Amino acid sequence: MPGRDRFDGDFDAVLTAARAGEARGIERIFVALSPVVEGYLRLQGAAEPQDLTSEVFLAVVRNIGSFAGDEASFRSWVFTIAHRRLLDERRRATRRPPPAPLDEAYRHRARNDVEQSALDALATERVRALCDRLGPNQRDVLLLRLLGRFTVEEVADVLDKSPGAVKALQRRGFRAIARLIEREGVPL
Amino acid sequence: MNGPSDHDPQMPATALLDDDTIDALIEGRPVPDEHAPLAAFASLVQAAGDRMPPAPAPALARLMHEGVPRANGARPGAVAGAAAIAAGRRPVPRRHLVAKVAGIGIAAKIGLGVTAAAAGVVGAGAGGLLPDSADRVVRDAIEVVTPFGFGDDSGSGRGRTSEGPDGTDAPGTSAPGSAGFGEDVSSDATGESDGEPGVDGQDIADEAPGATNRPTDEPGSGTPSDTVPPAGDGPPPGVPPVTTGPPADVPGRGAPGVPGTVATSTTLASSEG
Repeated sequence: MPGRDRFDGDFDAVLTAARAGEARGIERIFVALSPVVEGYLRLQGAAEPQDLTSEVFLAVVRNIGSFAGDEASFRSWVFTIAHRRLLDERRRATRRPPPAPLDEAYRHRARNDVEQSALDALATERVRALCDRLGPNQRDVLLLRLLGRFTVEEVADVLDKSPGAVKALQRRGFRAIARLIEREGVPL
Repeated sequence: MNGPSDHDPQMPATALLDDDTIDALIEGRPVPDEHAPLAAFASLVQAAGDRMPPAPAPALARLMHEGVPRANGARPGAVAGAAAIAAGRRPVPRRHLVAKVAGIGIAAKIGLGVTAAAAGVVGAGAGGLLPDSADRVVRDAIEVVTPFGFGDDSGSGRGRTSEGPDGTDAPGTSAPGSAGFGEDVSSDATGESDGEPGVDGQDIADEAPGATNRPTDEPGSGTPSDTVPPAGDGPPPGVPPVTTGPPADVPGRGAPGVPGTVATSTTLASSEG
């Protein structure tokens, strides 16, 4: 599947370096996986996706000695940490604001993101607003499938669900998105 | 209206999505036209993960630069400077530079601002972009704060020149166009001292830079102009002369019979001649 090999076939050497605490290995892991982790957290509606991404990778560095496996397993492991951090953040939040109406959400722009063009921010906000209208399980599955490029089995592993449940959730999620786009005329 | 739950009873039965279509959406393959909006959605979701890495928190950035500290305090495989860039780290965002500027002292900021402003104004002045009056002010300002002087374009003698102790122009410092330029000609140049006008670069004073590297005018060694640049083109005092050979720490073409020596421009010219 495209987008899965993010280490240019060099994963074993990178993992070895990172486990030894070498800066180069840690950096390669961050450069390879932080964009998708941050995208996942942002589209999940994390309050500070950039800060949360750093928390995830600090946890990765702290615990990398306990990891064993190939690149696909490593990506699943990293996203498991990211997903749990996201749940922790939601638990910490005293009250999560209700999903904003789509029109209002479109006017919202990504804050503190000077590197991102205005059009990118607008597109991201539209997508985030759509995802916000999904049920939480549907959203988890769709984002992990689309952003993380995980297989059904890998998503099931990250979310601790059965592959059958993941398949059903992704089908319902896509149908819900299609209905929102059709019914509310969401421009993409 | 509440958002759809995971078990939405209003879900239309006609919106069928088989597993192949879902896989095509996820993998970016073509899908039937009726699913084009979903394909657009999938593409935008995936684009959200194809951006540059976010700026790491300071603690993480330190780990990425220096590695995890060991028990003895040493950091394995520290990446620094050019090595870090070669390892693929993204360029430092401009906001980091802004943050660094924000972190320096107020005096340094003022100095930085003045320097930046001066550089811009000097550049504009040098480029002839300023009006005459402004250009003149800029010249005056530069002459006050720097050792550089400007001649007067009008030739009226307004340009500042270095002056000797007696108030006359010091030799060689008059700016072109200033009054008196060219009035003093050495006796050697006019031929009064030796009967031959001019020197034509054939006689080079021993005081001129690079005298120790000059070959003697022996037959077969080539004329001095073949191997030694004119004194006026040589490096200023204190600047090492440029040779055509490789650096001293790189094995290069050795002089015949002297292994390991590096040929200079003079030895190369003589050995190949």
